[in-house]
Amino acid sequence: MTLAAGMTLPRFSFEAPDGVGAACSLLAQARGDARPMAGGTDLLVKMKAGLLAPKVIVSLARVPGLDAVEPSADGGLRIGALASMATLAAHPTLRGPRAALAEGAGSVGGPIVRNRATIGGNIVSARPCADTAPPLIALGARLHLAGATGRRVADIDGFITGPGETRIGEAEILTAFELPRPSPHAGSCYVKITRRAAMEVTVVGCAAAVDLDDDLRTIRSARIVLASVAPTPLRVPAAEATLAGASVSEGAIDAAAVAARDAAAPIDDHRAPAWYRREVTAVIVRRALRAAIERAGGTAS
Amino acid sequence: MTRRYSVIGGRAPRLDAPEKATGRAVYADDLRRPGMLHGALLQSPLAHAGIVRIDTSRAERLPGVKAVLTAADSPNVLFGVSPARYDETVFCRDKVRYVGDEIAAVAAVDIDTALEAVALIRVDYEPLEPVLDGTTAMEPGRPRIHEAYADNVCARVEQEFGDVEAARRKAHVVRTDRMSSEMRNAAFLEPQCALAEFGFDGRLTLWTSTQSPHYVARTVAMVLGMPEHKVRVVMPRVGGGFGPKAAASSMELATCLLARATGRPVKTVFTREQVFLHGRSRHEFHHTMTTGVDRDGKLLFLDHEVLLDGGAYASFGIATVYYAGSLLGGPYRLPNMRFRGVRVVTNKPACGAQRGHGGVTARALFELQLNLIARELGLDPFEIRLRNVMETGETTCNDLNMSSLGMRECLDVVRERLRRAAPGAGTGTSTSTSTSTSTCVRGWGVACGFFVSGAGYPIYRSRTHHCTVVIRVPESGGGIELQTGAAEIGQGCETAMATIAAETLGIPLDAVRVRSGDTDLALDLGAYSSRTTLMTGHAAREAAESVKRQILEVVAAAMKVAPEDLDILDGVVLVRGGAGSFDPIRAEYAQEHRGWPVQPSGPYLTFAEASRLAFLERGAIVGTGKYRPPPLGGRFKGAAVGTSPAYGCSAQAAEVIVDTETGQVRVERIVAAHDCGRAINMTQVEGQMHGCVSMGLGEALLEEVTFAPDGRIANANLADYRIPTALDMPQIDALVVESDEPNGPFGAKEVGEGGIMPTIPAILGAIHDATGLAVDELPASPERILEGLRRLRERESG
Amino acid sequence: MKRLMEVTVNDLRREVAVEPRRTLIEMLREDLDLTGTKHGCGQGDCGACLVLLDGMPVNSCLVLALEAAGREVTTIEGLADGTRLHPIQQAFVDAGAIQCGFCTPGMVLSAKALLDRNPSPTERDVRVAISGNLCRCTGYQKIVEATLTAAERMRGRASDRGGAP
Repeated sequence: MTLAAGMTLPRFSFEAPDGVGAACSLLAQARGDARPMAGGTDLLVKMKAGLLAPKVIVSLARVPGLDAVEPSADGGLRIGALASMATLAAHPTLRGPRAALAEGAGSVGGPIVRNRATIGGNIVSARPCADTAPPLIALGARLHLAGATGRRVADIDGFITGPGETRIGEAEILTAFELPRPSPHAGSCYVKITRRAAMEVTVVGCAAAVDLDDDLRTIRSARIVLASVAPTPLRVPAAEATLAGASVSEGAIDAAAVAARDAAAPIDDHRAPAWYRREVTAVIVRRALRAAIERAGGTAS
Repeated sequence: MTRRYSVIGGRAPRLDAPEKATGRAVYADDLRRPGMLHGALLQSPLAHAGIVRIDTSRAERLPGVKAVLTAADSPNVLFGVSPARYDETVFCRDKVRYVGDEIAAVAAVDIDTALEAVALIRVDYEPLEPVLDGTTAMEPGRPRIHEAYADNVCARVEQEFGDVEAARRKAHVVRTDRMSSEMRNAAFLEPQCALAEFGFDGRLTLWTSTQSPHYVARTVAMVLGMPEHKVRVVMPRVGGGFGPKAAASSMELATCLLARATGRPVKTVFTREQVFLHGRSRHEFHHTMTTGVDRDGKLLFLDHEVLLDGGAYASFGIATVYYAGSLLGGPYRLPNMRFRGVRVVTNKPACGAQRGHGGVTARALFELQLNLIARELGLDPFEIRLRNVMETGETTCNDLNMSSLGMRECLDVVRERLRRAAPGAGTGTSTSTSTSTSTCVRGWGVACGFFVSGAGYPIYRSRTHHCTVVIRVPESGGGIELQTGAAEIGQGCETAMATIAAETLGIPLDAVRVRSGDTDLALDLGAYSSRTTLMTGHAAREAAESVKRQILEVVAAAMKVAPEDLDILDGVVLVRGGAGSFDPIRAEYAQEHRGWPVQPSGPYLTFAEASRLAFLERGAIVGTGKYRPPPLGGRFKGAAVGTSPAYGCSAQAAEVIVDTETGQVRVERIVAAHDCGRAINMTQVEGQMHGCVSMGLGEALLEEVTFAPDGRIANANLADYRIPTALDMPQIDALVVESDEPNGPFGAKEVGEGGIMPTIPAILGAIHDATGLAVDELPASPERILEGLRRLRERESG
Repeated sequence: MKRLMEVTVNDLRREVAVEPRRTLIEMLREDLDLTGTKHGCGQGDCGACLVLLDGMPVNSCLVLALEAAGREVTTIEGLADGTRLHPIQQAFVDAGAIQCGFCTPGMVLSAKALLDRNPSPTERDVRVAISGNLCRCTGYQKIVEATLTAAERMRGRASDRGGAP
């Protein structure tokens, strides 16, 4: 065994193209031996640990505009895939209805890591603990992908298929996320459990997003998405179904929490035992839902 | 009467702070030598296996490789910490005993080549069943890890002081409680690094990130078969140690062997993963304590059993198991104590010394148990402690003499601070917070502890002085240079020694230059057992007194007064408090410095003039000092461990908030009081207290080394081994209690380790106060808290 | 194969030939002999290797040297003016915020990045800002105090010069 983790990187060649098209071409030429790199906070760690050894690294850092966060024409928000966690955590557009995303981004690792880690990287690296995946799914984000043969838009729900696995093509690059315009009475929240107060991998996370009726007492629809309780971010339709049309009440929240707990399929690992993750899932679903409803202006009937 | 000091007790910045603040400080990995090679180790991927065959031929053929070493071409000398338990060789000979055990080493022109060569070494193993559970390691039929350790028992201790059975019959309340704690890692920020180089005279210099240049030098000389005077060990700046760096390692020895084999300098540096694999940090402990008190809550006896899982080798473990028992002798009057301890070996990284050596989990259980007893008696946690604390001059049942002990004062100042900060706290009643949910509950806890100010005996049997100090006065006069072998690992001993020398000599701190951490300079056993301030401090004081005497003898002769009439204060010579007549001395000095714009002036003879005169009259002025404790302790087996010339003590209170739905605990505040004797530097005393609390908080709530079923560490990194961040740490009120220790230099004693003793039990006491849960496994992680609360509810409802 | 890059380190333009796999910390320590940047874990878990990249704190063990091409890097060596310490360094020295010193370069730079964007931080702001920098010696308290003291002193100097309050 060579204990070299954290020492040196394997050899590769490095490209830093200034356009998406050029980046896709480089990836296509390498035929699977290349990796796009955004902040590198996940990729370089994996390479040092000997888990990945791409022959080519294609840095996206010099592609103009990939880190932009700007409103889209229809009232939505377009978030460049290279927007950093630090940028998103502090972004003025990510409040109230979209607060879950700022909270997710702001809870990734520590402040230094958040300066480099990007939202695109967080999704493409597809770790089950990824903190921006549940908020993005809860907020109904769409993904913009560019490939050597063209561009496409995909739903984020279902994009991540397993630990480290997504539906991205070999020569494709994730360029942006698009959040839809929030309905008038929407709120969201991301709550996560860790042992330490910072620099932590999520033990369990929950993003909740709710739309309320104009009466502010009825839940029109809700989304509940969990982190670190399954191989992929776990959306919980059963919990969402209990909330749709329900009055805002502790009873409704409890029912959703129980449904989420029952849906969770966590594993035992060195960060926490499965039973703990399952039990705490119910707690954070309740807390995330309460906060989301409050942010949506809701009041209990 | 309190003596007034001019330098001691102040808040002078550390001497090494500016270089550390600017990045100029040089640590081992910052060193480069001409022609330097890079070393790398092959370490076992298996926890327990026989070595059938090692084939290094491909590695040797790799261009750029200069040496490949295995047990076959290395000294077959056993080494370790305690000579009675030497059980390690540099490279494994016939079997590997943990994941990370060293099998071979390579020196090559660069690190990439060295690592590539390591990967080319082929080892055929015969896998053996690993022993990974310390609690069953002794059971019949378990594989034996070392031939020398039958039933995998590395050490067994049985001690009884007084008559526990007789005391048990008289007790009013008797409780039995248990506590276990997981293996910890000291998690110093600087990974170990060593650079070895042989000179053309056959002398070896080893620059290494160590806490004890002396012990490393002895071990290197022993293993390499060299005369001790041909081995020089130097510690550059060291990025923390906390215990594990106090023993020589296979990595250091392999680096020396590579340097010898190649004739070139070789540097080896650990990765963070290797820091974890090497371990030598805190043991896994399993304690059972039965404690009895009388009607008034006075302690009658303690019957204490402990099992230590020590990992693959003995390391410091013999001392650890003794400390686990002896450090409960105080700070309370405990007339009868029985201790049965056993340390087993397992196929995990070896455990050794870590801040609060051996005593931390024992203290946590004992203090928590005191709270439980107090509750049964209707006493508050302060009261039961105040009824039992020892006073200055008392001796424990295991023969430890408390030559000074501000335990009561520590408790008083903590209680006073608590009264002002949180009225009603510490009364043993939990209160719900006013936060948004009723699921968060708040509680307070208090605990005490004590610790040695230096081990009474060295780790090898010897009459050796524990340290020497040499002070040389430069021939030009003015300042002094203090040379010590003491190990500056961040605790601030250079500044402490400079302060003691400056105070003794009556000169300002900036007139003292310190050189430390080099076996060429002086002898010092190193930075462990909180020994440096007291022990090296004595030697520094003696050396400074000698220098002062020599200088004043010369001045007295020149001024035609008696030496006893002279003193030095704030850098000038006083003659019975006055200036005296020194015109000829000043005139000669001025003559020597003709044309110099700056000349000594003022109404008094300066230290610069006086010390220059001393050189002119006598040549080199050198003063030496030494320290060796007097014979200490009782005559029973193991009596040496726990003895010390003095003991520091501390009390702490913790306020916590427990989230009863998630099991998360947040420490809101720590009030800490420590009796350090006389504070040599107040800022540094507080810094040590803060550091103790920080490590204690981590061990209470966050830290554990966890293992995969095959014996690999599952969290050998600083993301998953969680030491506290700035957001985990609460406000700490550090209250310094100054007793005047008769056996310490200027009354000083320890602060570096004793301050960790109360932290864990104070936090556990607060959790108990908040929730009723007495935690029995450390760390008190969220899942353990939640599980405990569930069991508690089940008991209450059932 | 090595590639030639230009980078501004501590206000000095440098040309360095690096292999693509060279990390920024390796380039700083080995090619430029700036050993003040410390290697604590290599995995972005400790903050000992923190440097400022265009003013932003990054773990230099997780940045490729080539990524710094054409950009500005500030290391701990870039703060003091000869033997005159930067106010943050001076505050660390005065407050006793330095023990073993291994986290200090990263801590000081973390504090600098904070004070550059927020001259009047709260204690909480400081703790958040340095929460990616591990320290095993100090319990962080004197580091937090030093940073707040430095902020106060720097504000004082700024207003002396008639700068922003």
